[in-house]
Formats: sequence, structure tokens, C-alpha cells
Amino acid sequence: MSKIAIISQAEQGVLIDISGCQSLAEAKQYLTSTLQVSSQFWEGLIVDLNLGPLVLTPEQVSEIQTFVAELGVHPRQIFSLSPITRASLVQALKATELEAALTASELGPVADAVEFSPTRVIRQSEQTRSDVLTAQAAAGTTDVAVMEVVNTAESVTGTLASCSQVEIEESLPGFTVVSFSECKAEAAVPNAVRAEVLGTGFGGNQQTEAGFAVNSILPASKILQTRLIAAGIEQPPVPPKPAPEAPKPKLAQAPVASQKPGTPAVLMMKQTLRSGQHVSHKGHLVIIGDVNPGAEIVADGDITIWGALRGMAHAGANGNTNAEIRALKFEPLQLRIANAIARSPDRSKGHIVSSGPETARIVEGKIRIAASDPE
Amino acid sequence: MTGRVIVVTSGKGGVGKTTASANIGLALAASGPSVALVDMDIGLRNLDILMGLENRVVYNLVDVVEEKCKLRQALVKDKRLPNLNLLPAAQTRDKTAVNADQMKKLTEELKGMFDYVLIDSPAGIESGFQNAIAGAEEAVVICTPEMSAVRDADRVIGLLEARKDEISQYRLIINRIRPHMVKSNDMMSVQDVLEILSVKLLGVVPEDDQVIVSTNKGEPLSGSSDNQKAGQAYRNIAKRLQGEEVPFLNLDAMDATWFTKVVKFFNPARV
Repeated sequence: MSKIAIISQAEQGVLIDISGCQSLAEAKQYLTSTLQVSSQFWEGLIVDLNLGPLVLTPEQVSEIQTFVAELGVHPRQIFSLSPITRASLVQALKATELEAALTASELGPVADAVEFSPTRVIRQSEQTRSDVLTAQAAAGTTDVAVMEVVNTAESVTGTLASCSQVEIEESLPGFTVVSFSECKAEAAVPNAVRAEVLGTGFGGNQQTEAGFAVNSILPASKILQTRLIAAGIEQPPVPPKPAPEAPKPKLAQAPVASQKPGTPAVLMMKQTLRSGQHVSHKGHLVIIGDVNPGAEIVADGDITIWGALRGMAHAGANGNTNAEIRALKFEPLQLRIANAIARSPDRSKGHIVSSGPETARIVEGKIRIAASDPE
Repeated sequence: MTGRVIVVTSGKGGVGKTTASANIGLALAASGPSVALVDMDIGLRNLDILMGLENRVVYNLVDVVEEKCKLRQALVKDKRLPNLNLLPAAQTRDKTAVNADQMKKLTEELKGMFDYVLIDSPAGIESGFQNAIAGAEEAVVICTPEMSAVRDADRVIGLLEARKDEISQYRLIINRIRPHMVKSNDMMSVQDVLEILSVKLLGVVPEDDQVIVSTNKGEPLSGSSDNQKAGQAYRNIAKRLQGEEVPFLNLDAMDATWFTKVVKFFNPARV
């Protein structure tokens, strides 16, 4: 069991799960290494914290709260398995005079069930959380962020579990849980949920240094991207203007048909994608970094690489023939746009040297690469 | 058609399994029969690079197993020989993506399509190796003349022996041997290795700088007709696999210095 997991779900925010930590000190250590992304990163995000079986005194509870607050995380809900910790949480909340309370679960031990107003702390029985939440949903206590029980979590679990290094902690309703572990490789995920689960989030460095894999869940990167845009650090890439010449096909304009509400049109990733890594996105994809041979990137929209493209890129994966792939340095093994495939010339015929930013698009049913227009 | 399913394995990494697979595959196909090369090193795909076919890979073994495509669609035809086909491994997956039963089914299907099915096994003796040998009927064990490689080969042979019912025979290739070092007692000789492993020898491949060149070019040595040392050795191995009696290369003659070459030129009987 890994020490910390970041579970992200587009509509329901992020769950930080430290149930694998044995002590407060350990929890703090992992929280620091994983959460310290940037001061503004967590701002405004809906974050839940799962303490798992950690037993904490009221002082320790406030300690951890101030601790995460310093990291910029303000949990909306805190989950705990330990009755002592729950009591501490209530005390800590009362102490800070937050309008907080517990929600009594029909399933939990009723002994210490106090009268509660809307949620702050969700109590937990020994039953799985999904049971509790389902029961709550049934009981109509919808003040709690009762998440819909989605089957995907389970179906993913089955496949993911086959990847030895990715651990599935448990199936949380509506959440797909992937732990950070040493697994760099992409997890085995059925196609249907690929776009949801794959990807590399959180800008990489912190996790790598801490010995964590950078592979988290795609929404995490989505959040990163949204945050960057919100913080004004990054401008959302402007959709390319239609070309001046007539024969050029219309460039793919933003939102792709299949896109769900809440999915950002553009996923931006700031890292080098290495062999074996796979990124899939249902919108446009922007990579700030290189795409090495053996890496695969797939997007329903355009793919833009601020760096060298040496691996496989598939734009317009949903059949959008107007999608484009552009990169500063174009040395791909293979390009795919919609259903068209182009491969690089064989090495024996001489190495292709990229001469500057180029764009690949479909012209008359075939993929053509041309120097990007200065425009 | 019922082809022969041969797994190329070693236990130890870096001894030349993939190089041997590519070279033997190409040499076999060059002599006529149809050959399928199967890269079982899922997650660390290399065989396509050695074959110079990496840019042609569209589907892979895992896609076939998961029935995302037909076997025919995943097979990459070699650019030199039309009767040579490559079934590439998946790069973005890992060894657990397939299991032994699926591999057995796959090799059965390949057997029906090709005369030879050559399976390039991953290093190690874990699930990847177990999957690779699952459908195999014969094995080729690669080993270099080093204690560690011999030890690992011994372990692998033990594991292959345990599957006697499925794997009818296993033979050894000693790779990267340096005759001059053997002569000066700095390297284990072919006899030393055979003494420990006591298996049938399929071939001896001398160390050859050209192997590195050909790997980078994506053109296996055995494909070119000139008499490079390693290339010739692999061609001989392919012949032996087909049942031909071929004498082992005289490695001493190959390791000749310019001086012995001159001597040989004037007096062929002396060397």
C-alpha cells in the first residue's frame, strides 16, 4: 500500500488519501513532498482529505490542518476511520469555531453520534466508504457530497490491478483511484476510460524527487492546466487562425464534439514524455517538452509540441481530419491524423533533420508536413 | 501448415537475445521458409528497432491478445524479405498485459501461418519469461562466456527442463566470444561453458564490432552477404536449426592479426 494517493475527479474535486501513512510525521512528510506544487496550485480547488486509520489528538488535528493550509490546501471534507480522530476533528472544528460538524451515518457506530449540521467530517464505519455513501444517498442525506456510484471505478480496478506497481486502494464511488508508486509505466486501462485515467500530472518534478511516479490521473493535469490559466501564468493557446491560402483545410477549432462539460479544451503538460508513456486527451494537447521515441500522445483535437517530436503522435483520434500536429522539431517515428498514418523514412535512407517548426495536416487524404507559416 | 515455435531466451539481460532473434530470423527467412518474429519484451520493445521496422509498427501483440485488431493487421512485413514478419511488443504496457494461456493461443495461430515462429523472450525468469515459453516447443538459450551469464543460463535450462513435455529440445548459443582472450586464458572457452551447462551447442558467435553498427542501422548482420564473422555465425545457426550439418566456425582463423594473415598468405599450411 502506498503512502499517499491523489484521487482526482473532474466534477468532484480532489481527494488526498494518506490512509497508508502510519504516523503523523510520515503523513506530513508525504504531504509536503507531494502537495508542494506551487503556492497558488491548490487555491480554490475542492479538496478532501482522507486520514484513514491515523489516530490523532485534537492538537494533532489542528496541527495537520494548519500544515496543509500552509501548503495551500483547505480541505472541504476530512475522512477518518478512527473514532478518536473523528472526535478530535469535532473538537478542533469547535475550537476554531468553524461551522462544522459531523454527519451521522446510519451505518456507523451510533454511540458517539452527536447531532450534526451539514458536513465537515464524514464519519466512517468499518464498512467501505462506498457502502456508507450509497447508504447516505439512499437516506437522502444529500448535504454530504454524495457521489454517484460509478461502475468505472471497479472496471478500471480490475485492469489496473494487473499492473504490478500501480495499486488500487479501493473503489471510491465516482473516483478512480491510482496510487503513486514507483510505477513509471502507463497503467493498463481499457480504452473507454483511458482518457480519464491516463496522463502525467503535477508537473513532475516534486513527485520524482520524492520517489513517486509522475503518473497520476489525467484530471490532475487538467487541474494544473486550469490553474495555470486561472493564475494568469499561462495563456490558453489561441486556436490557430485559418490559413490565408485557399487549398489549406480549415484548422481544427476548439471544442471537440465528444468533449464533456468540465473537460478543458486544452490540456497542457510541461514535461518530457519518455518511452512507454502514453497521454490521451479528448481535446487539444499542448506539450511543453520533448516527446521521445516510444512515447505515444493521442488527442481528439490538435497536438502542439513546444519541443521535439520523436515518438508517435495521433491527432484527431476521434476521426477529426482537420486536426493538426505541430512541433518545433519534427522527427517522429509515426504520425497519425484521424485515420491516416504516415511513417518516417527508413533510417538506411538517411536521417531526417528537422529544419524548424513544422506542421502536419491532412491534404488530399494524406498526411503532409510543411514548415509552419510565420503568419 | 504447422510451424516450429522456438523461444530465444537467456535469463541474463544484455547477452544478445534480441540480436540473435533478429539475425536468426532474417537468416532463416533468407533461405526460404516463412518466419514470424515475436517480440515478447512488452514494455521494453527493441526487436523492431534492430529490424529497422519501428516506424511501421501500428498494432502490437497486446492489441492482438486484447482483440483490438486481427493478427494479420499487427504483423509487420519486413522491408527486405516478404516472408519475414514481425509481431512487435507493446511499449506503453507491461509484462502483465498478457498471460500464458493467451500466448499459447497466439502461438497456435502463428504456427498455422508460418514455418518458424521465433519468440524473443525478455530477460529474467518472471512472468514475461513464463509467457514467452508458454507456447514454445523448442528453445535456444543464449549465453556469453562469463560466469554470471552461464549461471543464469543454467537456471533457465533448469526451468526449461521442468517443462519437458512442451519443450522438446533446447540448444545453446555462445555469444560474444573473443578467441584471443580465450587463448590467453582470460575468457571461458566454449568447452568450459559446455562443461558446466552440458547442453547441445547450436552455435558460437564471435564478438564483432559490426553488430553494434548493424543494430544502430536496423539491418541485421546475417542479412548482408559479405562474410562478417558474426553474420556468418548466425547464418550457420539458421542452417543448423533447419537440420543441416554445418561445421563450427574456426574462430582462431578469424581472429588473425595482420602478421598471421601475411604468414597465411605465403604459407597457408602453417596457420
